[in-house]
Amino acid sequence: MKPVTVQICVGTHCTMMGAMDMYELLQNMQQSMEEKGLEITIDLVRCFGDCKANEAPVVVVNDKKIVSATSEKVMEYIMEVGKA
Amino acid sequence: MKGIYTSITKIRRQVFTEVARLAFENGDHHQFEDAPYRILPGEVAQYRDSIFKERAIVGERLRLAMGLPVRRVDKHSRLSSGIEKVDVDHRILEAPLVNVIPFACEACPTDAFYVTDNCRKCLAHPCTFVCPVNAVSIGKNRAIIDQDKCIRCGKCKEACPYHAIVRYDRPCAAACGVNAIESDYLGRAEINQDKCVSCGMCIISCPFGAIADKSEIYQLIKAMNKGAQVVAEIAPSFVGQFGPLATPAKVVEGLKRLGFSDVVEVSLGADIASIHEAKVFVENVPEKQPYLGTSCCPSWAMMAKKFFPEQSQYISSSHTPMVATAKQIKAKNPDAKVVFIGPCIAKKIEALDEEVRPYIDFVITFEELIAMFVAKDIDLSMLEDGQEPNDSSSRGRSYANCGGVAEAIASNIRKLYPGREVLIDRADSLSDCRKMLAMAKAGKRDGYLLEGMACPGGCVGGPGTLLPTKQATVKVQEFAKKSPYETALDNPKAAGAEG
Repeated sequence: MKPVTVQICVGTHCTMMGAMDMYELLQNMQQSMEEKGLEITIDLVRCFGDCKANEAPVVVVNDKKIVSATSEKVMEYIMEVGKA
Repeated sequence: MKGIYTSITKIRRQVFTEVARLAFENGDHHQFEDAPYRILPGEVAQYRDSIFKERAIVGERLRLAMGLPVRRVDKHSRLSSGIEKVDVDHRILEAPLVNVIPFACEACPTDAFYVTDNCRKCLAHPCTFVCPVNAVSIGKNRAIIDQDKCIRCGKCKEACPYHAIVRYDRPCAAACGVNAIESDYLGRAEINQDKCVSCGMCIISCPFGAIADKSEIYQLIKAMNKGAQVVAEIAPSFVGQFGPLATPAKVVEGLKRLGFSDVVEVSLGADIASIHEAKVFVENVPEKQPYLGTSCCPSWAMMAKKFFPEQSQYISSSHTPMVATAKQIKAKNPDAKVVFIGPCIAKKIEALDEEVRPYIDFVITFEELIAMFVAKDIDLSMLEDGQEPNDSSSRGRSYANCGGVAEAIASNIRKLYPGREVLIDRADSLSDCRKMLAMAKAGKRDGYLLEGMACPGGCVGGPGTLLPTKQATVKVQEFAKKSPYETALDNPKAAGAEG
């Protein structure tokens, strides 16, 4: 498994759209995946600055930007790149 | 669904943002009619079976967010019907605060035991043997429970080796600590307003988003547009609610940019109230009253009034931190309008009380506030630091966490009356609060200080919060440690103030 870096935008718009709930779920994932050998690093970051109105919340996994992110979408992608 | 961000949370916040935007832009009533189309564009349903129903429900949510009542389904009226009355710059909020949107409710079955697919239709079928009322029989594919006979004792569930029998209650009713959820003639949830104490737990528990409360953001923003001096008093649970980069100093700066003239911590009022309650406790318990209940949680106090009328006199009558803070603000600036910003929706009802009304002009939640930031394109994480709040002690700031209120009062007692012992009991859900009061009524809590909080975890678990409770508890503790004053008695702003 390859290590994965996740950046969650915690600007005000993304926070309103559930960034901190996402953080909580990804922390759970981080714990359960550690046992399976997948190392996930999570950073809480400032607004990326180029978002459009309907794109919150924004999460970047490695280099890929996921807009209108849901925990479902993000976790799926983390597994995809982690396994690759 | 606290702690899990679902489509229901998303829609609720989109509705608040839309209403805030309309208010900031001074939009006309036509724009209100169009609002459901801005929130739900296109012609394909995203959440329910039809886009028409989705928009109709969002429409009712928008009305509630404006402070309007839910419309009747059997009579024609426009979405904006009645809007003239709420398009004002002062409080218009009227009970009931918590409303079921009837056609959003899917009429979930009420409390019952069900047999699931796990049933193997086994040879032993202990479920039938343990049932005291002969309600369980073996059908063609699985065991069957006759709901008319069933007395809900749960024996069958305990006996099944396959865990095939489940207890199933409507999430709204299961979340309600005062049994206020009843059914209308179509089996849909209906709130018995005589029982409801506006805690808001049903709102965040309904998986169909069928329950919502009224908001005052529209009228508040109108007041700010008009140039009124509006002071924000912000409840101790605010720390971290707007994201980890939105430090308290940035939240203060953000509030000023929104149009508030000043920002005061409600923990200042908590300090004032805790000194007062310490004195009341020592002077009255147990000679004049058997115990003392804390005053700050309005749902707990309302529950006592409604369900234990003869006990409610023992819940402290000292003004709540919300009111004590507002008194300080109005003493300095009698013309200021005061807005309480907190995790709590029951405060909206508390503010309608005859004695509280003169001090509090509006009550909004953190969730409603963040929608105002977003509507005004204010990103707190990008702001410069404003002034770090410095109104209160560590103990006052800890009021937001369960256990924090009683501890603040007890620490004052220890300081003021060395040697005086304080027994403490506490509860942090409405059903536990009821049990605790029942014990007190039975004479089993004499000499106690009782801390009642309706929300699990305390105020940080309130329905108007954004941060998962576990994270919020830690944030509150961290901020409490930063105060230079340990107890209320060390805080020069609180000592000497009238509670």
